[in-house]
Amino acid sequence: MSDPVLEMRDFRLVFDTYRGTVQALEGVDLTIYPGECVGIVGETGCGKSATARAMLGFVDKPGRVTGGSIKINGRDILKLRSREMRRLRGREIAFIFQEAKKALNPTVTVGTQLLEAVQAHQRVPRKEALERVHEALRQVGLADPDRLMDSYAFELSGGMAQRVMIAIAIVGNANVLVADEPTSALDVSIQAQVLAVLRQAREVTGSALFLITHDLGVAAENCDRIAVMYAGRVVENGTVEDVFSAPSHPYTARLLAALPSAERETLEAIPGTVPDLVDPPPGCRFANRCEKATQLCVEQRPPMSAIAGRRQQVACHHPLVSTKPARQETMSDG
Amino acid sequence: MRLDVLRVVAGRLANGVLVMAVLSVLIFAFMRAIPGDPVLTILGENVTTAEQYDALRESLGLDDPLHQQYFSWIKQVRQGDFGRSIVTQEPVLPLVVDKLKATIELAFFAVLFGTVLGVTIGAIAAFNRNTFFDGLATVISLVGVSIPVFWLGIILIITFSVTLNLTPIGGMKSFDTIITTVTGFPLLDAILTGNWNAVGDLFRHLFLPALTLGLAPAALIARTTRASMIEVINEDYVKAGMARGLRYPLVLRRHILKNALIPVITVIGLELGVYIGGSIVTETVFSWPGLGRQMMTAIYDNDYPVVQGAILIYAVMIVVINMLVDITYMLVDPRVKL
Repeated sequence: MSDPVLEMRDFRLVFDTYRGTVQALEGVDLTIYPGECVGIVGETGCGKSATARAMLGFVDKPGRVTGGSIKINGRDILKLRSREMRRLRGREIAFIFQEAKKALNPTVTVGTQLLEAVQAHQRVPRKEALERVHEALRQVGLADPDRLMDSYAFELSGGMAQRVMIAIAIVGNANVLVADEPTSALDVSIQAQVLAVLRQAREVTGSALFLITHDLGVAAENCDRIAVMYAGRVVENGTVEDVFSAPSHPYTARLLAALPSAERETLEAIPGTVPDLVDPPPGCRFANRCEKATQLCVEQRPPMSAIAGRRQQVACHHPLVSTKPARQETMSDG
Repeated sequence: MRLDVLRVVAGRLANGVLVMAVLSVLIFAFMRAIPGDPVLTILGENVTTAEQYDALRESLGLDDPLHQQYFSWIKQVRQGDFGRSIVTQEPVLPLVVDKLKATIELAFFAVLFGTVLGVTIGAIAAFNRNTFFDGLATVISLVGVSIPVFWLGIILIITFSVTLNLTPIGGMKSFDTIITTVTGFPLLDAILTGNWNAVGDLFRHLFLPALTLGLAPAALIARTTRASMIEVINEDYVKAGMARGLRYPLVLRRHILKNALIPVITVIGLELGVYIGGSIVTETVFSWPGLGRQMMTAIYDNDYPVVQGAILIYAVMIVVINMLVDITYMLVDPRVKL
């Protein structure tokens, strides 16, 4: 397998608040290979968005990086100067926002925003820039590009706005796209269309996609691999088939059990609440809600271990399928 | 010219005519309701006989019934004749326009000062939120909004003119400064004729009144800029611009300032009305030979035609300013449909 386009290792992020330091992300590991789609699922506040934004070097106050590395095409972005980081944005990594209409400037035309994405990185004649923008708009299925470019965000429907955002993201030919809940703000019927557009656009550009969602169905349909996040840690990752058919972390299992289905009469909620991350427990962060938890879980943080015979890893002392200790090399062969 | 802009101009002007019509009745009535008698103002202590008094009253047309006086005044005004000053016999319109030029010059620099100072302080405070500078700016602007104009003017005169002897106490220029009239705006004329000594002299006279008039609006503009800026900085589209790899100056100009300054334009527009009100007080404190001071004098003298003319001119200015603010609004914010 070729080198990863994005590799996050032991990434740590804290938020300084009046109450104390919130340990928001504690040692997140993620690997994305060229062209694949990696999904990340988890409940609100588990750190999905913070992880995604950090990939573009967006760590705003009161956030603070305390350790780890994020390598994009081999370069650690945490060590880059802001000028070098700017050159990376849009060209090597691009971001698709949850609410496209809010991510478009209300007083500037759509065309200007598309063109500036091209011109931010290259001095190209206006004509050539326009051609590229038209090409990107065609790829996201937007007809009549000329009229569209003269319009403003408030004149677009939610689905159209999100297509425009995707066009902006792909126009710079970035090889990683990061999409933060790209369809959550849309009607269900439009969601599928937008995801299809995203998929088709990636087929042309060959970009990898890091897809944040809390919708397990969206993850299952669109992703090759999936990471499950809980309270600032990745607790399980693997191929979509493996994780969904045989979840090995109790949290993943409970998450899947909470999905509605035809056979189920009632939905199972997970009892308890997420621990306070100002003073997190030393062990597994799910221990207080887990029925399999033992004294070991409370005291010791479970390491990420590979599951034999599967391209799946889990951070649990008592996984639902037997495990063996993982080597760094074997965990990234998905 | 955009069609919608023309439509707004036409609409606002039609509206303005209506406003002026109502206003003309009000000022006419108010002037006659307040105590005082222009005939006695002119005659002063020299009233000898009742015949003399009646003769003057009749010659001024003040013995006619009120409605008749009103309609004959309106008829004149419609033809561009605002009548003559009861006291000096000067024609009102040239007098009022001449004084207005001095007021506009003062207001222009006050607006300039207030806007530049307000936007700068507000923007710096927004980018340095919850720092010492931000706190200081908030306190200063609160003080700035709270200080009455006349008091500030007097304090500035005592400090800069009396104690430090840096600026003149009042007036628009020194007695020995002579300016060739080109446009009637003294500072502009001095610049056009290359009279740099006069320019310096005019600026020294302009400094304190412009500061006095501009400070309260500056404070309000600073607070609005700060609040609006903080809101816009946190918008997704700003982050989205950065995510595209745009250079920060472009993000600042096109994505932050363009949106953050829209509410500021509203405040500046509203403040322009305040400038006009404030200019009356400021001109009085600083003996500025503008329309406000002229009007104050005319009110004391019961000089009906001058007061009426001045107020009508003020009303025209307010109507025009509001129209300009609306048009600016349409040009900067595509969502605005008026």
